[in-house]
Amino acid sequence: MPGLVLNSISKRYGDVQAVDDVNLQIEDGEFCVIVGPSGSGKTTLLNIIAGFTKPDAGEVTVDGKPFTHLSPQDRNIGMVFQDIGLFSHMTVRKNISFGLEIKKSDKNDTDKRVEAIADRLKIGKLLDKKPGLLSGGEAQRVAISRTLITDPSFFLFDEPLGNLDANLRMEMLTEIKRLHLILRKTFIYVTHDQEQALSAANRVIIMKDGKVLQEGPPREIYNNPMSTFVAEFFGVSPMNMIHGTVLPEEGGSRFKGAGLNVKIKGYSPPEEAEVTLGVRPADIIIGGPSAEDGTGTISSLELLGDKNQIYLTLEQEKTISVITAPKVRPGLEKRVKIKLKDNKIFLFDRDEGGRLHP
Amino acid sequence: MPDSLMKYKVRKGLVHLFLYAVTASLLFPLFWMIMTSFKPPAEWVTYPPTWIPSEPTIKNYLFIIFGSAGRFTRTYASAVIPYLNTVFVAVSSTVVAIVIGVLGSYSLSRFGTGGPSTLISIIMPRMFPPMAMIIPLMIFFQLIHAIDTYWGLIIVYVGFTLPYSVLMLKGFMDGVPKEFTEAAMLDGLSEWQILYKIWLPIIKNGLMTTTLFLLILNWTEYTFALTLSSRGVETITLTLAKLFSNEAGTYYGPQSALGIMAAIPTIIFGIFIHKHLAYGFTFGALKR
Amino acid sequence: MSTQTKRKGKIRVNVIMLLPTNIILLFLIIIPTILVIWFSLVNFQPTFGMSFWEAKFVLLNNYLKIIMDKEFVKAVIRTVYISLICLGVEFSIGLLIASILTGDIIGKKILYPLLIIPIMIPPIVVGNNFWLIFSANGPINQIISIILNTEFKVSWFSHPQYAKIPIILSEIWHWYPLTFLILFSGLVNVPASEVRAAKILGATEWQIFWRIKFPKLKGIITIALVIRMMEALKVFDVVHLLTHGGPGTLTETISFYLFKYGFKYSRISYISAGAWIILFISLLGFSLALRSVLVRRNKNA
Repeated sequence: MPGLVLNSISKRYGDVQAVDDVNLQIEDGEFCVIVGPSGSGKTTLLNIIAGFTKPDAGEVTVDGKPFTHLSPQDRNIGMVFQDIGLFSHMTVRKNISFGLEIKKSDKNDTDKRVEAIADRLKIGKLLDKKPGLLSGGEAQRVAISRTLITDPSFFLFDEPLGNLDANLRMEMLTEIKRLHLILRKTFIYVTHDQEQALSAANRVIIMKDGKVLQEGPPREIYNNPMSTFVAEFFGVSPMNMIHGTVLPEEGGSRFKGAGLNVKIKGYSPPEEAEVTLGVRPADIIIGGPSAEDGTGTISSLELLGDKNQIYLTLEQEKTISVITAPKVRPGLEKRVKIKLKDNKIFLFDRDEGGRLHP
Repeated sequence: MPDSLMKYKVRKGLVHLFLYAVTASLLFPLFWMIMTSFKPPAEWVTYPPTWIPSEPTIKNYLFIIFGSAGRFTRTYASAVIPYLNTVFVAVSSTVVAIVIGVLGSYSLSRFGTGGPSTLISIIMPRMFPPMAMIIPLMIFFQLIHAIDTYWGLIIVYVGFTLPYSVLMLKGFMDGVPKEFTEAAMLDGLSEWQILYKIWLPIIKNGLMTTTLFLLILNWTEYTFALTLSSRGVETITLTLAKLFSNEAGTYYGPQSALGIMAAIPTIIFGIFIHKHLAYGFTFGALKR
Repeated sequence: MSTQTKRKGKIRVNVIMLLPTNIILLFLIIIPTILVIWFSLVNFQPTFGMSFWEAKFVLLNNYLKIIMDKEFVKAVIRTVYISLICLGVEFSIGLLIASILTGDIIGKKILYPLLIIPIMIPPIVVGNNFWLIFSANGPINQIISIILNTEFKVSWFSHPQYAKIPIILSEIWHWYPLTFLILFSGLVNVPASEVRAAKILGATEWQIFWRIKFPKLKGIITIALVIRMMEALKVFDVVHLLTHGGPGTLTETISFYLFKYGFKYSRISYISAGAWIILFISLLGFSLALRSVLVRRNKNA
């Protein structure tokens, strides 16, 4: 039963259509990550869900009740911001208790709850400090505590880890994931970092230029990208994209480009077409019995311990990246043959980027 | 219309109404002054009072600009030169006072130079009733031949607005978060650069407000203009005083007209500032 | 900035920056001040044709004389009373308008300059204006007559109880833009991130104002109040214009008192002593008020 429904939401700023007719249904308890490059409209969308921005068109409903025109104060949601926004003139304790104080909650009760939450987020010893003295990570924990204490119905996160160091980021993200498991409330998380999205989400929503390009569980996005943009955006190592042409053939078609000559089973275009072939680095095999898809020259080899990162140069100076098991170690400048795993080959339209195959 | 939207709109409407009503009553004296500036002499003081002149005239304004000769017992010269004098004196003294004030307040805010007593000693001059200062200042100025000169007046104006310049600017500077300064220090900027490139942009509104305030103080100053430079450099405040004389009644019409004309430059400056007030204050500036 | 290491070079910069301020104040203020001290300690009466170095020393005589003068003491109390009223009302109006105007208001761009205008008008003009408005045949009496439904033709300026009112009102009218401006700048600089966070936590506009915005303005507000109080105590122009200290001496403010004895009766020494007493009182009062602003700014409070 969808908790939050966005219905044809649009918002324009001057010449720019920030959000373009977005429709979404977010289930209760989902950890939903909205990813996209800057300017994709994800923050605007979040602000509309939060109530800071009113959409030009469309409606927001929560559990069937209209939400669109409610002020942020009346929405009973929690939000964690990128710029954190701790009240700099109050102590950490007062920051956290703020949400309860303005509702005139019982003082003893409030104090206990502050202690409990501070404990859970491990900021107990910071309670009497002022925000100016906190580190980025500590400040963000306080911000999270502050919003937890009011027991909101769902949570919004606007790029909360953006201001933190890289190693701290993963740690905080793990904490946020754990919180989600404990609270079982809906989390809507906006970021431009696909790594965060992939590791934390139940469900990923990809936005670009105000539109939703694709959505679904992370695995599916990874395995089934609908366009070159999605394919390139996702994955620790970006998908290789090779331009070429595809020609119909008996039993399918043949792709030719950058020196590759690959048989594509199960796809027959009506006629010759300009396409982009996509294949992930981990789905390319170097050498071996069926390495008939093309030849390349090893240009670099990195030993990363659990895997090797190899760069191959094909024809027309096109370089592709390949990930192999540690034991595969061809010498530099060596010419090798490669095979692309059959069921891991994607074909995209050259101009639009939409997926043609599979 | 959904309930929440209706409540929102009604509240907005009431706030607007209230604001406009308050503004209207606050502007009433101004309204009266404008009306008076267009009234012929007969309507200046009547009973019942004339709200809107039945025969509006621009004679009052002409009187200001061109003066009048021999119509009453005194000849009133044109107010154009005093007007220009005021522009020159007010603007120069404001600029100087702001520049010096910025330096001084930075020194106080950033480093706390000289401790608390420095701030008090800077403000002290302003606490002194000007009345008592007049005679000594006159004597002193006569000694250094600064009477009836532009620079003499400007120096006095700077001296007496400097305390406010420093005090107000320091107040605004105290609000600059330390992260910005620390980042700049890490980047190896010198103190002057930190002031110019980081602090000044942050306190832009405060700077504009202080400038406006000083400009107004200098523009409307009367006591020192009267005593230290009445013959050499006449400012419009003196011209206004001349119009308010005990002979032949007071020239309310021309005085209102001059009052309006005197207020216009500062009003324009005020509008200009408003466009430049930065709304919101983002820490996003730190991420470069 | 207690974490900064003070090397010799650093110390020099901050002194250099303060130098122009110090020079001007020294030059312009100290010297006349010395003269005033001198005057207060001697018996200087220019009307008797003596040049000022011929006056003879009477030390604290002048100080004693002026403290004993009931009119002086009354003038001081009266001035403080008037100043406090003006301050209170101006502050309230300024705060009210500033907080409304930071919101989403149609016509903001026009209203803002309009509301600032009163402070830009020379005090003489303001005085003249209020003279007209409060004259016996003026619009104020007319409006009150309409409201009370009877003829109300009071001569405000010669009325023992009401004479203070036009003075107070003209001062308020002239000066409220100052608090408005300062508070407005301060409000606008409140970090948007904190306001947003407060909204999400459920705070109403009222709560946001008093718990988030207002506390951050404390420093700026103190300065505004101090500045305004200093000016208020010196009020002269409108008093001179509207009531000439009257009826009798009922609206004599400190400055007017000094003016009367200084210029009308040429008792320079007398008023010099008076001026010092005023300064002393002001210094005391303001030091207390400014205590929080005096020290170097605290750690990101």
